[in-house]
Amino acid sequence: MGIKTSNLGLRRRMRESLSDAFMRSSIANAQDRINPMRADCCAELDRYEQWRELAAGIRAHTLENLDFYLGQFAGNARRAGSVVHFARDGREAAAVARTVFLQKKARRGVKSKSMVTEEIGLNEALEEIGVQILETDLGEYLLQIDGRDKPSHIVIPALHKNRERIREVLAGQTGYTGDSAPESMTRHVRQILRKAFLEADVGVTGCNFAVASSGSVALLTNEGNGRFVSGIPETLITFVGMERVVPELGDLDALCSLLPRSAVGARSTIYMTLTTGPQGAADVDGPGEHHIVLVDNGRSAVLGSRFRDVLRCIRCGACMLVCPAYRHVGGRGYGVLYPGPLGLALVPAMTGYAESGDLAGICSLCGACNDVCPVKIPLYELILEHRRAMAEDARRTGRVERLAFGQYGRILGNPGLYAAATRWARLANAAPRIGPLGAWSRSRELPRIPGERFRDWFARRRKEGRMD
Amino acid sequence: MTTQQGFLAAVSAALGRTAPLEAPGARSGRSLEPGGTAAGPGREILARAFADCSREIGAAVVETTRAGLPGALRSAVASAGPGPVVVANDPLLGGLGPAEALLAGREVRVWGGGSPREELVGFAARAAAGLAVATMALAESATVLLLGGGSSVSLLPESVLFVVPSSRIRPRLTEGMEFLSRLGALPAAVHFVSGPSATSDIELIRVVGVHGPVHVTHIVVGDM
Amino acid sequence: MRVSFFVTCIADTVSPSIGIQSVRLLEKLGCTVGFNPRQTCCGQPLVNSGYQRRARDSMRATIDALLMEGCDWVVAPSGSCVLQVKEFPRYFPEGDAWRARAEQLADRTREITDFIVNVLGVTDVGAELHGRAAYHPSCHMARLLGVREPPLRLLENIRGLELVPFEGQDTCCGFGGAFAVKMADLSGAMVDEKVRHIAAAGVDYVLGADGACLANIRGRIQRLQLGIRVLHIVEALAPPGGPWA
Repeated sequence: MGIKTSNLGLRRRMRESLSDAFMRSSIANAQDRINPMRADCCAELDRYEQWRELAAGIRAHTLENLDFYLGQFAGNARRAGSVVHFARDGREAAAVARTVFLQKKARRGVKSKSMVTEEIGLNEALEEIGVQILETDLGEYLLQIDGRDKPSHIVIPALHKNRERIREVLAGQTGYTGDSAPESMTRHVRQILRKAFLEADVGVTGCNFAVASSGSVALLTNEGNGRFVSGIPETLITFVGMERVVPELGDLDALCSLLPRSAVGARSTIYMTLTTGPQGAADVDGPGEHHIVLVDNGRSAVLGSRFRDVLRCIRCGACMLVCPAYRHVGGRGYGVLYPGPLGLALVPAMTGYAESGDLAGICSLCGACNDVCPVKIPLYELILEHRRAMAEDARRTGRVERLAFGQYGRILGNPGLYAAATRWARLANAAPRIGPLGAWSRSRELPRIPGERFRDWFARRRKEGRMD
Repeated sequence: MTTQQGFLAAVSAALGRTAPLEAPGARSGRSLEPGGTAAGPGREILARAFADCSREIGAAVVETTRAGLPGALRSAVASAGPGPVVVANDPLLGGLGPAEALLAGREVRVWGGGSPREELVGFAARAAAGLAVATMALAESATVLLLGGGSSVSLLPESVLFVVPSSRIRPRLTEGMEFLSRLGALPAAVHFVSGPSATSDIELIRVVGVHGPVHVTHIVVGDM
Repeated sequence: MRVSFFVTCIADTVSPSIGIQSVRLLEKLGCTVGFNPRQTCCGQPLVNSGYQRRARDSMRATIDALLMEGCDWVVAPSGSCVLQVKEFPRYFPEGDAWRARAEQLADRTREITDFIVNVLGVTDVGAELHGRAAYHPSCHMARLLGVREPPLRLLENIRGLELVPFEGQDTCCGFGGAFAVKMADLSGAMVDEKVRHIAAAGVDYVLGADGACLANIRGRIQRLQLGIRVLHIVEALAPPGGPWA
């Protein structure tokens, strides 16, 4: 899939998002239900703000020493019996998976949700060599069988789908004959995927955290598919975005205490599995072979930039659930894999402004995201910094805009010019509603500029010797 | 230069150096100081908190004693309905005598025993119930920590029963991770399980029982 | 108490009554209010669109104008402008003379409700306004500047005024500066939802402390012809006889 999920331009995507009433009401509903749950669950965690500080510190320290910890992780993972691969880009990462499947003569794969595998277009790369790779998170599975639809949120991917649509797709693609009650449809999918789990040759998962001191990979899920995928097939491939490393097992305390609370307002996910190497002699359960693929794919560029702090992200999705813009735009309107404030801060730093510069505008600078980030990423400041870099360094804003703002700056910097210019502001009352005035007017009345400015009133009052 | 070296060189360069550090820089705290008294809450308080939270997250709770455990197990297995029972390879359960005797009248299999894995997995997939023992339990989130004994036992059957000796209940994740840190080498799979599997992926409506078990029972043994 | 008044560009030209009522209120509370007409704009429309360099001239003009002789405080009727002024120092290099002056200005600048409640120590100015009102906390003021309580303290003491909560009260109104124009339809969707939530609470007034948010909300209310009056807090605190005298 890649990081970009849409070839449509910003205007078109906005139009489509704003006219998708179901999506907007789903997202609004998700925000309205989950936000209070998050607030309550975090407040219930004694010393929540200190936990946040601690988690932010762990993540920042890891990033500052990432080369060391990656080396330590690889060494310990290998000692535990895992095969560790380093993939600098998506192509290399996908190639590792293809090689494993080919070596194992494997045709059937099952997959647990992983954003990094979507970045690298893993499913397409495997299908090209004749592998059938099945998503197993309920939401991701439903998207996959619905013409490979794209996710709208990083934790609740099928948020934009209603039950009727899901029933239609299940009927058409899997012979489902039941009703549209979520429980009925879930049972149906359970049966289908149960069979798939037991028959698959290879399991593919992502990774929430990779522990350097033990060479373990941690996977947090609610549905149990993560355990199936990492436990049943003979071969397991774990994809790890390189910034997911944490130094020690003890660090999982803070991070796994905050992740479920921030994400969905729960004290824990239902399952957390720490996988350390393939099945040992005593275990009699688990994969016989374990491959770990560490993926860069643009992360080192972010690491070396002013946007490093966004790599602290633990993918809880809280920022988008509090974002008032995301509320109306929905995940797909951003046109990239990571929507909302996370996407605005991260994606342009990964891809460059030519590819995703238009993201920085999808923000009203309300600051709600900063308040909820469990690892205290300064999202607001990073978004502003992208705007600055685009306007001043990369010169990616339009020429007309740059000229206009240049003029504007000149007027604001010159008291005489400013006083003269504002004297004529009244003309706007009669001006044609085009350009910026037109844009504002599409949904709002324009303010009526009065005849006398404040400064005129103040000067007049003083001249007249009044104090009213 | 190997791929690994090239990969790490790019990371080092991004951090403003030419080679990875030999050791990481100084770091601040690993965990918040445990609040409250050093001794922590007493066993009974922890057991009660664990039981309360278990019910909150949708796990059934059976409270019993060492003497009552075999009966409690039989009863809980009966509630899971007819069908085979897969039992974790665990010394605590082993100490109750042969599984076939414990669960007379049911088709029973203990994980391991030299059988090939496919066979065991196949059996677990048919099983109505899985029986496992908590290595540790965490009260704050009603979490059961499992180390070995057969991961599939607690994953494949529709109903799963966890024996939780109350002496093994600890306050929260902090203690769980401390325990694992002290273990030395970790087994291939360590599982934290907090209740039955669930999803809210369809219209945010919670459905219990997705891929993992639909029913979870915590059998808390007060004097063990 | 001598105060240098920072009217802000919106209150100077678009909503002068905000500036007028601010001055009257401060004088009523015993302040001598100075206003330097050489002030322009804090520059945030430029900064928030990424044009920081081009904003420096306006910052310098603002620093020059607001640091008035004998005035210990600089007061503005807008949390976002005060926030911007407090950020001024970071736009000038260490050691630059402007940096020191920017710090001087940042230290003494306060948003007006914060000034009245926390500096003058006043929460009841004897105001009276009858009706039901929804209070909209503007994002920059509440979240980023951290001024949340003072407006509420002042509003609570307005005789006859019933403050009514509404759904999504803390959510952004969708103004966002150039965002309102560059992403006009998204901004429109946001203000539409805000206004519908306000209307559902059955109120006569919307009150706020930031002229830009208020112009945005008022614009949508007028487009929907809802008849709800939109006032800045200083207008609601004005003496009886109406804030439009």
